[in-house]
Amino acid sequence: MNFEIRREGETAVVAVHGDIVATSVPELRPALRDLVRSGARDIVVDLAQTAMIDSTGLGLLLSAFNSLSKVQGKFQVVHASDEIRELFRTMRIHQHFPVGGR
Amino acid sequence: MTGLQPGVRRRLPAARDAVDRLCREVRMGLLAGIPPRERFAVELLLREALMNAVVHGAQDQPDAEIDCEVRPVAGGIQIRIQDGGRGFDWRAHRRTVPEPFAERGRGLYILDRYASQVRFSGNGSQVEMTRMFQQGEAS
Repeated sequence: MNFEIRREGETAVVAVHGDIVATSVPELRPALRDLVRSGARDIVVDLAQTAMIDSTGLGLLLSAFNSLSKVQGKFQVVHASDEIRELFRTMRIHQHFPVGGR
Repeated sequence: MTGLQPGVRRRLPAARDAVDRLCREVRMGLLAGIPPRERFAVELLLREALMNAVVHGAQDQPDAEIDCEVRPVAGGIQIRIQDGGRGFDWRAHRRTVPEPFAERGRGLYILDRYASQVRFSGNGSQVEMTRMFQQGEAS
């Protein structure tokens, strides 16, 4: 897994290339945390190149959402596969933030 | 089609990167020919159960070993995982609906939601799951 961040003011798009799972979360977590700490208030996670998210990955996205909520920020996921969107629905996480499809 | 596929049986070290390698092997091999929805579901079940064995069973000790078997059954796929750890109180954790904003504690809930049948044995060091393909999904 790797990722790239495009930042413009308070908006950041995090394009993830690969799976967001237990082994890759330790790489992504500090990047999302640093974005919030450095003033990003509108974070978009682009999952166009992500095939799998596990429970640890879901926890990471919820953590980012929770951090942004505390500072009145916005969080969303875009370009998720049908399977990942179904996972968000099954786990009722789609109620918290927008999850867009491909 | 799945009845023609050979199963996968492995003994792997209780390490997270070993979980990744096995899941990748199963995704590219055994699951390559099944519909994306079922492929995702089976790999997710495999990942969650293996990570449970690594973290809770083997306590992240890489010299511990985990036995894993993934095999096609009529209309679906069966996963069996055994670790040599001291187990955990799966009765207390299963069917617990995660708190909406909780950042942990969704692994066993995923097993219950994505498997057609989940059976823990003994102290929780063995789990057997079957995912039956939904109608129209199996070929």
